Amino acid sequence: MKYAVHGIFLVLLSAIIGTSWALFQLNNINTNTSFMIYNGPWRVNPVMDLSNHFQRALIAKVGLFALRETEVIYFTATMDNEGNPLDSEHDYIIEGTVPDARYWSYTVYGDDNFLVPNPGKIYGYNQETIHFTPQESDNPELSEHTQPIYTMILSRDESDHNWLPSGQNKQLAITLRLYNAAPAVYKNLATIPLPDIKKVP
Amino acid sequence: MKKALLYTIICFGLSYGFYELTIFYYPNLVYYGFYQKVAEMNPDLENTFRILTAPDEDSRLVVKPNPDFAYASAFYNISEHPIRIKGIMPNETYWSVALYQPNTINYFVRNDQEFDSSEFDLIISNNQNLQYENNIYSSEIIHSPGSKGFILIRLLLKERSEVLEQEMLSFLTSISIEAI
Repeated sequence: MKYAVHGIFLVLLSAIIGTSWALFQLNNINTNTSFMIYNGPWRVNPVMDLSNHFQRALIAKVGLFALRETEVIYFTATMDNEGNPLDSEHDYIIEGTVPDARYWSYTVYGDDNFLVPNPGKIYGYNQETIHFTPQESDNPELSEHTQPIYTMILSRDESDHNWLPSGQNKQLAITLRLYNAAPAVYKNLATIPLPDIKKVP
Repeated sequence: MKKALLYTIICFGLSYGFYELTIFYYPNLVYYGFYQKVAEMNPDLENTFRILTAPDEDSRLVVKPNPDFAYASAFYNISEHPIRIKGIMPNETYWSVALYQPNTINYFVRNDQEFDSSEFDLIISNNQNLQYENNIYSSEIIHSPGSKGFILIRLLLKERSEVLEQEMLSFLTSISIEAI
């Protein structure tokens, strides 16, 4: 009888420890990203290795019903260029060029991983809605071949220029989705040009 | 002392086992949680398409929703019969058909450029329904790893306008699903 009680206690204790440790790891993604590729403040899972149970669990948690990497590449940024977490207390300038993909978009998420509430229902920008920075040059050939650039402002306060509302969040995440990206993107995930995220002093 | 050491080793071993079980079944739990949330709102849950307009801040069914898309979704159950899904989609915009297992693995995805036309006509079958291998229909047969899963059809909305959204939604509402 005594051993049965010990056995039940051991099993229960082990269940609590094992389950808690698993949930802790899933909730602390920043400490479990050995399979990620980093590109400045952006990280990406290059291959959704669904035979890897941890990856599969992580994808279910942070991106339920995400598409395979052959269809969409998901870059995520939760920190600025200096490695500081993105939050609503600060403003950020995000400057980038056009990714080489059939379709691309930026979306901001709050610390609950849902869209940030705001009266204007502005949740992100895509290739159709973003305003590019006018580039003036006296050289028509240069103007023709220069990559268009854009600047977004991630801020609690409204801005006229590609404003991304940050709401009231202690941790923000920006997702850059590339649909049907060019082969060169897949080969150079760590080095393709991705936007800088700079905190406004 | 020996007993304490033995119990500690057993505890470590069991804990690791529970850790692995949690990680392995976590996606199934997430899927089941989603299934229950949808079931609360929709009594006819299986083999029926639901149309979802572009998500906003009130959309809390799935984390990190993409606000640039409208969706048609359905839980499928082919334990008794395969199902056939058909639809006519708009030209010149991205759309895709994706299928998921209950452990959330995306085992099939095809976008508009990979279909022969703006129409799709698919039969979802598992291996038990061998007679449909002869395919009396003109549909393409997609083999489901199991008897249940999830269908998600995405349709890109290039901008958030009510007119465009209504136009795109009319394509999604044309999608049919039938047991065969």
